[in-house]
Amino acid sequence: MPVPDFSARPPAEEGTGVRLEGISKRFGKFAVFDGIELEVHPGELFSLVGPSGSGKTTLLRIIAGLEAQDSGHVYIGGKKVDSLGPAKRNVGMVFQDYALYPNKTVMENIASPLMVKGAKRAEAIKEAAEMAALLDIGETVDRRPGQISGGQQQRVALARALVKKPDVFLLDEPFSNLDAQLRFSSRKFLKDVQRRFGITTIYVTHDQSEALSISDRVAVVGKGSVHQVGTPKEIYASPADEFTATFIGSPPLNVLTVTVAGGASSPLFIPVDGLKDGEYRVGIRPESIALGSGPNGAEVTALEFAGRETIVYLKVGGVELRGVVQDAGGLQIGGKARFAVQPGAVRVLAGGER
Amino acid sequence: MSRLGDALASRVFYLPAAAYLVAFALVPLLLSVALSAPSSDLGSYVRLFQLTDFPEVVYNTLFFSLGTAVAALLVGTAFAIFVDSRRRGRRVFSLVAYLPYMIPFTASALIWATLFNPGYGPIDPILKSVGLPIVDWMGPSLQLYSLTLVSVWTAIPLAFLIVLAGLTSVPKQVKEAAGVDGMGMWDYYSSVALPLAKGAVVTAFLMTMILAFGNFDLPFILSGAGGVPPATMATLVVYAYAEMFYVGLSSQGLAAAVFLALIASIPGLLLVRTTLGRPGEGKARLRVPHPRLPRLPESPFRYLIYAVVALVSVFILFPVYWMFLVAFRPQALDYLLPPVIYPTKIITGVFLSTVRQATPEIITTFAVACAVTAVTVLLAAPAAYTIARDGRRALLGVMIYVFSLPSIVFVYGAFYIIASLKLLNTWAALILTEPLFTIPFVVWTMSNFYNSLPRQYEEAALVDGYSRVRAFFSVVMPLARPGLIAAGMVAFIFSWHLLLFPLVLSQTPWSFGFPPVGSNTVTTFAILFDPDSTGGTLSNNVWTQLASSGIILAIPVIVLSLVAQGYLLKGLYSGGTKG
Ligand SMILES: Nc1ncnc2c1ncn2[C@@H]1O[C@H](COP(=O)(O)OP(=O)(O)O)[C@@H](O)[C@H]1O
Ligand SMILES: [Mg+2]
Repeated sequence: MPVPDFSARPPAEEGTGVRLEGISKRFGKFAVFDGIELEVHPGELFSLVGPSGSGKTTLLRIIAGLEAQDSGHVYIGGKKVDSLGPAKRNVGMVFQDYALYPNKTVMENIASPLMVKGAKRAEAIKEAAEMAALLDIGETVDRRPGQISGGQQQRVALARALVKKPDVFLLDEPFSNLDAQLRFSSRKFLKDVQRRFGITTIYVTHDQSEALSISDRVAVVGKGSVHQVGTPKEIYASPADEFTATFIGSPPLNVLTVTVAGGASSPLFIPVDGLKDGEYRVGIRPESIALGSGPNGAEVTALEFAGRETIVYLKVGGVELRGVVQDAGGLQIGGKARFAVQPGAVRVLAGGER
Repeated sequence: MSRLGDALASRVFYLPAAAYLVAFALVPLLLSVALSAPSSDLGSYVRLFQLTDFPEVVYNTLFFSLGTAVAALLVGTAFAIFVDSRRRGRRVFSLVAYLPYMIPFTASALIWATLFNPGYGPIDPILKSVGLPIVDWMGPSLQLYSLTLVSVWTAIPLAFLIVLAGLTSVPKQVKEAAGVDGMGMWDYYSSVALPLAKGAVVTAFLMTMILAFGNFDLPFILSGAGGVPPATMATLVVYAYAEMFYVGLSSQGLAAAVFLALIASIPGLLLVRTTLGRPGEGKARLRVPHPRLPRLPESPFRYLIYAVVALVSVFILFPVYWMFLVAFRPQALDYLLPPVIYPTKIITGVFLSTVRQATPEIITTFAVACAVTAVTVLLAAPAAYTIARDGRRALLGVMIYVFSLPSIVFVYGAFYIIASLKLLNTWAALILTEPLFTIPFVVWTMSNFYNSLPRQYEEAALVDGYSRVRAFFSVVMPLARPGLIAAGMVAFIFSWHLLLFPLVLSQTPWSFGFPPVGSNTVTTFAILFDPDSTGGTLSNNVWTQLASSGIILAIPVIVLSLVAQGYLLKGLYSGGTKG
């Protein structure tokens, strides 16, 4: 699918921010979250990422006004919008199943938000046509949603959400129904569209690599709370807690408990510079495990070919570890391997006192 | 079991129902047609068409049916929009719109007869008290409209339920997208929800029209429950009945019934087409062009809906309230001016003595309804399964068509068969004939239910080595239990409130003997209290007894309908907006 070139611009500075203040929500007895605080800057592409069931959709629906929070406030552009319905918040939303009006043509779908606002039919059609051309679905406008491909439906949903020039653009797992190829190109497409419009965007996904690849900033959501907010780099390089550490990265971080005593560590030898004696919960990135030689000896329990690299499953002193190598030539399942943990690669998540 | 055996088995699944329908639907139908032209000439038809009253009767029939369908659809849709658009109060207003469905036609007609009664009913005094002129509701100039009004009252629930099912099958995300886009009530319903629920709207219209075409109970009771009805309100059904069973001109009555069946076939076949066309895309289906509606201002539309719902709620609730009021109040409160419309003193004596008097009828009706339910479920469930799984759509078409034919076209043939079996005035007569009405409907709704059951369970069973027949009995039937129970309740309700067949096939109350002879039912019991049918000689307490018998008729149906409500919704219109 050809992607229009919006000549990558930097994120726009102007625009409308979104702020959540102490948002709590429960369904019956089940508390989805309790006191969420978030600040989304004007013009940025902000992702909510977390495992499914963590409440991302609920949070997005609260921002859109489709669901009422039990307590706390939602601000859009500095204005408290708690009492406003979804139509009054001037948000554009792309639903997971797109939610296109099945009985209307693509053109009517895109024009619908304008017509509802009272635009003249001819005017609305003109703007809708421009938007359709911009998103490269110009040739589908006379068809109905059932008669176009999933990728095209996706773009119609984007167009319908964008045509009314919303202050905030909300997307709930918009690419999850697409195949892997299309998902890949759609990510870039979305990022380009978002830059081009400079529109504040909140993007919900359970796919951490998707979140890292397109976002300006990311919030990691897990079981009812926000674990960390930061740029993709910060989140990846310095996860704030074990939840974030294990959720972000593929393959995920190795998390284990090591005991440091007198400059040495067990059950794994790791660089211990700066660590006092004690018990630590540490995270080690798989790519920081340098296979070949080193102080640790391990058994190879499995090898998983992943294209550019191979994931190596290691067992050392009752601990399971994952490492990656470019070339697994010398390794075989059931064989022995030696490795070192690279200096500076150990992230202490908790502990220190005995 | 061998492949051949299995293939045969799945054929056998629908054979019992098919055999039954041949014996008790096709044969009576053919008998009716044959006897309508006794010496193979069309003389009875010619005489029928030449009757001076005939054009008026046809006009009455068309007015009654179309009027019922149009008005019930408009009101039912307004109610459905109201309920669909609300977060709170959905249950309460659904129940209000559903209420008339819980009152059998016979009871509805009796309540309305008392309401319309010029001396007794509270409507005229109420009109007078607000300065409106008194009208003679059942007089020659108004009775057709009054009759249609009652029919609309009884038809609102069906229209409401079907349209609501269509509206609520719009995917939730689409509804939310409309909210985010800023669509108001009018925008959403006129441009999204109603076009998507088009199939449901068409179904609701055709169903209400078909039921009105065949409706015997309302015109029969409101025109005096006996004798020759006045031409000013006679529909083809009651005209045919009077010719067959009062005047004795059976061929002319049959000609009228066959003629009615031909007219009713138009909506019947359209209903077959909409229903069969729905799930498969691109199949022949009724094309209803959707006009581009002008944008209405938002708040007037909202207030229009609210106003309709408020007014219609009173219209629906008052007669039911009236029935309970009259059944439990002392006779001294009758005929007062202004009428007493609040409960002041409650007595239960008349109600209880009515129950005692009606005991043979209550037992008969209950036993017959149970037997009819058993027969229906046994025959209909396997047939519905064949339709759902082997895609025997033609069979479904036949069921829907049989369902849409007026009962009057079967009754003479059924009478003939039962008489030649020497079974008149026995329970067996009713148990044999009534499934004619319940089987087609239950097959229809059950096949929708089976369609909604995931196929994987049976496929897993087949992979595990079960035969089709065993898979049906040990896997499908247990899964389908909720559907079967609800289908049984629907069959029970149908049988409980039938009037025409008991009226023709029964003569006396059950004599408490065995095998059971005497098969008057609660419906035939109730109409004996109609003051008009007793020739104007009002016995003591007649109004209280009348209302009491209405309640006796209604109570089991109320209880069962409340339980079966969800099923009715799903069964009648499932599939929604897909395709
Ligand atoms: N309408 C609802 N009623 C009851 N529970 C709900 C409702 N919506 C969501 N939940 C529950 O809230 C939790 C969060 O759901 P959701 O926001 O959809 O998570 P996510 O989008 O992260 O997968 C889930 O456990 C879900 O079962
Ligand atoms: Mg979700």
